[in-house]
Amino acid sequence: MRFFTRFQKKRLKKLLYFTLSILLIANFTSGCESNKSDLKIGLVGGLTGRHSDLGVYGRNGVILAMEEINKKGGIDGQKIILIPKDDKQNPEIAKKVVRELIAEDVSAIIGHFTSTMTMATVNMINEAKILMISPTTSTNKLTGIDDYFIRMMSPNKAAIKSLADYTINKAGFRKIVVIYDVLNKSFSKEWYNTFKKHESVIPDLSIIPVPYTSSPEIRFSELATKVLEHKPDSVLIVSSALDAAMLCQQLKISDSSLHLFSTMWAMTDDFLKHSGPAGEGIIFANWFNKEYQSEKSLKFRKGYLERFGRPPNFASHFAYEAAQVLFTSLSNTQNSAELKNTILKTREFKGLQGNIVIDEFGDPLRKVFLMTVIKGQYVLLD
Amino acid sequence: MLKFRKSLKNVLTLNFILVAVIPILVIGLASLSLLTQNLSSEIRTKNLSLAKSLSSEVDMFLSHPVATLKMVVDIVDKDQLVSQKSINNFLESIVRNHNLFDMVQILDSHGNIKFIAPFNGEFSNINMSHFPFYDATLKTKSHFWSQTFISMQTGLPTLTVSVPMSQGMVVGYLNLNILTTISDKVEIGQNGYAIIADQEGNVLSHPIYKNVSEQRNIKNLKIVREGLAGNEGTYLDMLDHNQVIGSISIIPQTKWLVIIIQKYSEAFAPVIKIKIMLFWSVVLTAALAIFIAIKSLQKTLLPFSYLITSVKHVTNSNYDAAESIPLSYDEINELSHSFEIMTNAVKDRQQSLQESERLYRSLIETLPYGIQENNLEGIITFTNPAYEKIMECHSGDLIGERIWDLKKSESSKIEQQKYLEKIIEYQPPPTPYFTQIKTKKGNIVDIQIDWNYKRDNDQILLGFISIITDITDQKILEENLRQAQKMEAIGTLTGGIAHDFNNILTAILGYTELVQCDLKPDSEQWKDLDSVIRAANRAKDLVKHMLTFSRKSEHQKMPMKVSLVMIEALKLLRASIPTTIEIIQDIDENSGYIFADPTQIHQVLMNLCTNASHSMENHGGILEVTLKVVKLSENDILLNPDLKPGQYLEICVRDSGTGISPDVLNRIFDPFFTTKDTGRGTGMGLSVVHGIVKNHRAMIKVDSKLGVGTRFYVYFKKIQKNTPQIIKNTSNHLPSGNERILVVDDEITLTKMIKTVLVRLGYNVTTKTNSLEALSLFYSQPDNFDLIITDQTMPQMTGRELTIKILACRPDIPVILSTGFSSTINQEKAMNIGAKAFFMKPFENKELAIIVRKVLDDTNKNHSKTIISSSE
Repeated sequence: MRFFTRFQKKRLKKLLYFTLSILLIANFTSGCESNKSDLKIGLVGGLTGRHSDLGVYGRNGVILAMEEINKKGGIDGQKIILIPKDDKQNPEIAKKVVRELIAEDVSAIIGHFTSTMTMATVNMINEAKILMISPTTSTNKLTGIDDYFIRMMSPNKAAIKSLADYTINKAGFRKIVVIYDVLNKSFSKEWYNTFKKHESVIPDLSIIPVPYTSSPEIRFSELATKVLEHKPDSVLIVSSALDAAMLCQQLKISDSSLHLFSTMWAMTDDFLKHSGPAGEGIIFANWFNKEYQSEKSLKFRKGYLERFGRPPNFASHFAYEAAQVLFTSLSNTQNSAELKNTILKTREFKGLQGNIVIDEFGDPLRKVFLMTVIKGQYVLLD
Repeated sequence: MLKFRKSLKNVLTLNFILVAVIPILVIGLASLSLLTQNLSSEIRTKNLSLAKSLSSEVDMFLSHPVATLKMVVDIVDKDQLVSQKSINNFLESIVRNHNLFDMVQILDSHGNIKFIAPFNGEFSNINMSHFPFYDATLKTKSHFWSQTFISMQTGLPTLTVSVPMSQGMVVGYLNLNILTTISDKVEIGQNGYAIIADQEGNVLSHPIYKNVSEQRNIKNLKIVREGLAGNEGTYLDMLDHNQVIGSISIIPQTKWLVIIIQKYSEAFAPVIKIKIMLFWSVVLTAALAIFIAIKSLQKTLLPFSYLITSVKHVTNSNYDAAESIPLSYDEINELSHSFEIMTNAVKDRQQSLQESERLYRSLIETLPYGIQENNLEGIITFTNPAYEKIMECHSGDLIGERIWDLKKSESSKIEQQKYLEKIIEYQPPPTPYFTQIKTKKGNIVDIQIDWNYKRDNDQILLGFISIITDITDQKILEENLRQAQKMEAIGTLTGGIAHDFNNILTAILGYTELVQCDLKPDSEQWKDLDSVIRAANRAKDLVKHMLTFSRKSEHQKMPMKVSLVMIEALKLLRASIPTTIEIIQDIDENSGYIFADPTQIHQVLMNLCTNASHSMENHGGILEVTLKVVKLSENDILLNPDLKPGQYLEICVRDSGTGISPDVLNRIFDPFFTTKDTGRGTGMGLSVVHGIVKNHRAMIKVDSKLGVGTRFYVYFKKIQKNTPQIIKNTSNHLPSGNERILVVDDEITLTKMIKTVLVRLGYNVTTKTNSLEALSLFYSQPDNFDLIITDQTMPQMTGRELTIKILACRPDIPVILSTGFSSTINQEKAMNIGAKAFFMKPFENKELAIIVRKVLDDTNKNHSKTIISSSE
């Protein structure tokens, strides 16, 4: 016989623990927030330097998607944490930062934004069995491979074909200089090679290569001279926005009538700013239609503008879609190895410009748009 | 959810805790609140001041590039102090000397670069008109700060300030590192820092340069949104998973934001410390309060805990488990003591109650009388086992039924119901009554009901208690008694008649034989007289049977042949048993003799066979009766100490009837036990058999199987051949003599007849019809007689008394006693008083002659005794 029975002692202990818990919670919860159940997503892209427009705008697209989903409570109550890494457009740095992300046990990686960087790290993510979704990688070299790489942009093939059809067959240009940046050769060389193949079909067609390696020291006036030495009737510029803008300026100074073409790589606001009137009339092949008027697309553009104070570019657009595809799939499984299968199984996702249909190799099938610049704005080519 | 029980202990403990904790909590919280408020206000003010100070400094700094560019405009455009060729050099000196710009350009009216420093031919005539600052500068005609963008030359985030000229504008590319240099000067605590962001939330200056180089946008922060909305102040926010306080100030010139960020935990470290201190103070105080509460209350409440436990034990009648209550305060000790006294009292009372209950229950359950309780609605609420036995039901079967449901007819049910209502209304004194009820099995039972009222302490009528006695057997006994009395009366009557009738028959037989002796045996008259003799003998047998029937016949054990009795009995049975029953008999006629009463042996057989026939009367069967000699060993008679091993006659009666159930087998010899329907049997048959068998020191065994049949075995000790034999003279020649015989009989006809017979045989006969006269004669001449023949039943003096007196006078004289019927004398008694022979009337002359001669001869042979019987 004791003063407190075992049951009463239990009750007393419960009361004590309850009181202590309340006090502890009241005391300590104000200072920090538990992040035990956060979902870590890696982002890798060129965030600094002259070619950072895709990376920065793409990162912002992912941030917008992340903030939207976190505002709704995250995925099954888990908040998304974005870990951004700058690959500085350098393959070695790209490998290093991807290794860091793998070590941080991220659920998936969004990136890279250029094909050469993706080619540098794709084997690493396959070995680690971590899904990589690239918003803007479009090299054909990653087409038809069952790996852990999925992308939002279609492979180059269709875009190149579309632009080649226009320049060679429709516009009838026969002497085309392809000036391309070797720094992103996985992407740029495909353009040249594909155009070059047309020579065998069209006898009087001449595709002249002018490769260069982008750097702060590059002299665009000299490059322009080199191009113009071939007296081309048109020039295809396969480079980033700033390089393309400067080439346009230099080429137009010498030959204002020259017809210019470029790729989606350069199709950003930086191009418009830096090219000035020299960029007017240039034609791009892209899967992104800036004028697309769907509710989702408008909402995205409005949201992006409000959040970042500038309109989104195609990299923001595809990065936003990449994030949404990833988050949708993460709500089904958080197993990194299973994510890929989940996405391939789902196959069709709601995108900003209609549904995104992804094939069994993780490549989407998108429509190619030909865009041009009129009065400093991108418009759809009739 | 934690449930709080409102017990004294809980309440007192809680009160203790509340009394101790609440004041500390209130004071602590109030102090904390005040402190937090003051400190927070102080920190906010301090950080905001710092932000504003930095904002002013940046604003001041930003006026330098504008002023420099304006100076360039003045020199180059307005005053044209520098020639066109030297402008580039002039601009270079600006860039180099002022250390504000990475690059300075002069654009013409089309936006083309006309002059540039540091000089780079690549950019000559490059058109800049698509940069937003170009249109904005032209439009505002004032200096204009651009958004950040990636510099073509450096590849780094850059912003420009442009100042309009008369034709075109001068554009300075600001080095953002300068802003960082300014903001880095700020020192706030250990980890505080300053951020400068543009109007879109893009980071222009940050201690971590990566945030600038990667063009991080911090518009997602509440602080930034407030700042962009024009609200300067200090706000709480989350930044990189940390709670921070941010003070924001707007740079007037550019509307950029200067944000002072400090970790909340650092800024409010004193408050947090006080919070922790308060928390532990409360915890320790609460713990101390609980400890004191427990210790203080222990002494007070511990006895109560014991008391509660003990009360529970007492409630559960677990008196021994009640623990002794520890000593506490006087009042509580007194309470404890009183409780112990109470517990003992309750314990004693309960024990008595239990004892009483046990006794009561035992009585109720073992009482041979049925007990029933019913309520005012007539619903039976209690019955005991005896009641259930009477009602032929299982325990509790009748609980809940109404008492009138037991009545055998509908009318009696209604009658019972009305009777109950009347009793409840008038409540008369209870009187027993007799009735019939129908048992659960449908049998009608005669019962006696002794009842009484059941009342509560306030004498309010609750119901009735009734004692039920099954008087069915009693009624049968009464009936049997009546029958027995009737039989007794018949027997008495028969006995009386038999005496006279036997005397008459003796006379008839005697005289007829006398007459017959005078005739030729083949003559018609002789034959007629023979018919008379046969008729008289039949009459004699009739009397004998009447006496047997009325149980008045003398049960005399004698050597007898069982086989003969059995054969005779079976003849009688054949007529009374249904023909569906086949009788098989296997009787060993040479089985010898037993010493028994033939009448009773006859009855044994009759009863056993009748019983057997009853078990087969529905479906017929075989009744087998056997008699044989068997030898019984010690083992065979183990259970019958009266018996000795040896040769026995075994009578076996076997039937192929229903058999006897094992559970009643040991009760079949009980008086009045019967399995037959009421009125079909008295239950005396086997009881009588058992009595007779025991009386003869014999043994009876039964072997029965249900559905197969039953065997009764009766064993009588076989007697040896030298057992006194019945003397029988089969010769037609009557023995004669010349001795002197005194014949005494109150029937003058008989004295005459006997005298005639004896005289004819040569005897000298004197007759007397009065026993006193006869005695007187004998006394006067005792030696004149050789034999006395006397009747038993005579007025004034019986034959027995006469014999005694005669023998007292002359012991050697032989006396023959006879009687027509007497309950006072039999052969044994006659022998005991000294008579030499005894015979029953009527007798034949031949018998008389033989007995007389025998007695006389035996007397002459020196008084050797021979028992002579007239039976057979």
